[in-house]
Amino acid sequence: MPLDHPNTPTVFLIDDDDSVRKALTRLIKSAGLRVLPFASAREFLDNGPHNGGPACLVLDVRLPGLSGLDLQRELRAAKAPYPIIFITGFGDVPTSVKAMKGGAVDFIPKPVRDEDLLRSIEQAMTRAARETAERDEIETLQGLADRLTPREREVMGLVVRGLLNKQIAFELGTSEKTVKVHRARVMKKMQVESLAELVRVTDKIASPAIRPS
Amino acid sequence: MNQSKPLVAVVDDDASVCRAMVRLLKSIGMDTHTFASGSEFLAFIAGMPSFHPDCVVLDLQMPGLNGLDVQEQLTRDHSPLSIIFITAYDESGARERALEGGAVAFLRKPFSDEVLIEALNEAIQRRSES
Repeated sequence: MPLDHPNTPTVFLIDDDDSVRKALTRLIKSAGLRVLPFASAREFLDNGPHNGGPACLVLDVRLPGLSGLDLQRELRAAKAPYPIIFITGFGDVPTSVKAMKGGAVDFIPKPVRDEDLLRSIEQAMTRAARETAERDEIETLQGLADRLTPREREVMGLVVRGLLNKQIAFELGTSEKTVKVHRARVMKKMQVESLAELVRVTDKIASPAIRPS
Repeated sequence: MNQSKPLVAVVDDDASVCRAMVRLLKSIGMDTHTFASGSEFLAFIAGMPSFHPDCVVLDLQMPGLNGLDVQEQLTRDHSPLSIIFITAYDESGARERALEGGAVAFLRKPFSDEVLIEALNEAIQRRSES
């Protein structure tokens, strides 16, 4: 995949230590990955938004200015939850455990072992690709749902709760025949062919998975 | 990029003990991560695939999972980690259980830096042989 393709997997590397940053950039490139190095979290944020393809972050927990943990929090809030691999000189309870609870993929002590970093990046990218695909699916489904009329939305809500057409008609004060018509339109607009599929689809939109990174 | 200092995990709910350990370990050229509870430590080991401490200094008496509980879990997980127990209390049976479970040392507070350093060196040696 050409490096400027919008979906090229990218590793964002953030470390204020020049020699570490250079060495890790070389290592990641040697694995055939596209890597964008930054000296600070601020620099990374100022150079966004980044391409929409799968991406992960490799960053030092202890950065001057905006810390690695702060960046983790900000990205989650901005709904850009890239999987994050933290690297660290040495850590203590609040930092390490907080990073883990914030959804870090891995926590690699310095000096970084090549195989540890590359393996973690591979895992992070797999996760990123899966999460990107899921987010795209949810966006598509939301788009379909947006085309429903208010009445169709109402009918859909009752259908997925398992009510019979007769019951839905009673609930909405309309005829069973009308309900059937709405139901058919819902199935068509949501591009599903069975109740089970409709339930699966509405579950995704109702509670889109919020994956911390 | 690949020469490594020994990495020691310290698990103790007493923050001042953790701080003292960090100071000592740094002074002898070792890296350390500290954890306030056994469950946090186990969750971290399980969740972070690249976190490979050479040994763990485990407080015996902790709320929630105590040191022996942690040792039991590590054994069940076939962890190669060497364990050094530290304790302020003389709990009967605990020492035997710990050593039978494969602990490198069982140190009763107060202990000297030298005693701890000797135990650490042994633990790291054992780790690199496994």
